[in-house]
Amino acid sequence: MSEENHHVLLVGIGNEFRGDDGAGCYVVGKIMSRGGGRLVTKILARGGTDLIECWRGYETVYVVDAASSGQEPGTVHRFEVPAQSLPKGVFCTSTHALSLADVIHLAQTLDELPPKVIVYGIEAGSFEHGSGLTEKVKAGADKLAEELSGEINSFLEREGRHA
Amino acid sequence: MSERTIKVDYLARVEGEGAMYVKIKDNKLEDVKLKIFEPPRFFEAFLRGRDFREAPDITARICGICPIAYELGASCAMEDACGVTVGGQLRELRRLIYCGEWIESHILHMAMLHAPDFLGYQDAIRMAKDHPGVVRDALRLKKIGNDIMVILGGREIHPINLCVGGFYKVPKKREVRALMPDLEWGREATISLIKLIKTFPMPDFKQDYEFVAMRHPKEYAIIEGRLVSNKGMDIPIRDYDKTLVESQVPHSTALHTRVVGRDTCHVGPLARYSLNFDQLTPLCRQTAREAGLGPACFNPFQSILVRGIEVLYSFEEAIRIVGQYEEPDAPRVEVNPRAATGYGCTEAPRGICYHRYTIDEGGVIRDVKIVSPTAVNQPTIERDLRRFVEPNLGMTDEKLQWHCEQAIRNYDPCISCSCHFLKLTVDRS
Repeated sequence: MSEENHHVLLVGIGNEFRGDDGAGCYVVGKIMSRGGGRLVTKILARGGTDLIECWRGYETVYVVDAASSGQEPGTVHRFEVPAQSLPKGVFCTSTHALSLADVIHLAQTLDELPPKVIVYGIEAGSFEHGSGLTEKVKAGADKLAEELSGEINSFLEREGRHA
Repeated sequence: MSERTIKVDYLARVEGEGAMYVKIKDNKLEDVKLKIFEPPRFFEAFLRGRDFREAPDITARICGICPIAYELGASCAMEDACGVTVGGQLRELRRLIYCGEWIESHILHMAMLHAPDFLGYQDAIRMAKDHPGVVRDALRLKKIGNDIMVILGGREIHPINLCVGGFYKVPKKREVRALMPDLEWGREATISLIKLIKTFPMPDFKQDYEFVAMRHPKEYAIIEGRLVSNKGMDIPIRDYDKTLVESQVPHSTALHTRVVGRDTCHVGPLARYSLNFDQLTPLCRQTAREAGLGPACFNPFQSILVRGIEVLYSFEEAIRIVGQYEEPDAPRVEVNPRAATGYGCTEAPRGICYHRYTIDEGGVIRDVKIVSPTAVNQPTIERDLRRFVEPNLGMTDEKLQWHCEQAIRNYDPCISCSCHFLKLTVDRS
């Protein structure tokens, strides 16, 4: 792995056995299967504070997670932190782990937030047990995988780095 | 006539869904309930008819925080049924992965869930503003626990590499040895954390508990031992059902446990520490003494300190195991089924976790009983609440609620684990 790649990280959050909760993992897997090259990627079954340990040392981090704000399934949200703050109630919450908004808040407090974090949320339709995404969410995730792949490549080219 | 009700519909900073209800009438405590309404999960029912080798992977799903307790409890019970003993490096690896689970579970609870109660913060995020070093160190300590689970178990949540007889694949010596620098850092960081926790204000609240924990002749018991208590219990695991009985209560989907002929009992770090203090390492005993703990601890609010001592023990034990690790010749002992009932019990972070399975000659599971530590502790938590509230009725509702929630968190209850059962009565009259 080249040294440059330690600057950019792509993280997918979610449980692939809980329906659309696995949308983030699906997008990361798709980008990798389309030739993500040596881009560093990680999958976290539960985000929570593990995210802070996971992104330590990276300059730019792309995070993809399922969202649950009530909008049409498959809708994609994009937030650029710290320029934008993550609204509460968009990303999934759990009794077992902090929400993504809380983790970002905690990371800021601890001075552990990478300089640039781009968060994508894919609006989920179902969190039922079982693998596989629902139709609209899969369409949204496929589209996001394509666009995000392009965005990351453009970013790396601008920065003079190669995935 | 005056009536006060303190009600918390959804307890925060616990695993799973539970509620607290305290009713005070005419300045007298009338009712206290720890309500567990997490839906029942029927694990015991859907294990029936499955192959005995599937039990560890199925029961791992009971809990994302303490899956090892379930995987090893099931494995040990199956090995007991089939007359197999797992020893040597495989047994050491089992203790090592359990150390990882104790570290990640205890640290999460101590620093992120319980410490805010003592320091007057609503949550760890607000606490982090004033104590960033504590939270930062805690996150790193927790990650070391997770790393142990990943290297031995394949992943930290519901590990996939444990099986009846040992492991599907054993880690390489270099992978295990690579843990050493982090473990050594973790040991020192834990001592610093204990020194800080020692300064927390602790309510004076000693109780007369029957502590129940496992005891092993040669080690601080984690995966093997007899069940002992400070009130005379000393039984093999196979006598569990004759000694500890469960009953259903209307306000809970978890069964309540009592010791036959006596009362409720208390399992978990305080019980282990108080019954097995002599088997802790010299550094643990010294650190405990310096933290103001005696050889037994009957104040549940001090459980946060005792968890710290157990984290320190876990780091020392992990260092010992990692230092002597050699790859075993085979990843597991062969286990052939026979018609029998087997018993397994291990010390989950929250206390003893009991498994009993009956399998037939083909290895098909015919009967199952699993008891989680939170289910055992539930009536004891309610008793603590009653005894804490009665002399403190003069407190404002807000203050009383704060301390009651703190008293519940003393047990780090894992509500999701405890709900395997629901008694359903259909009235067709």
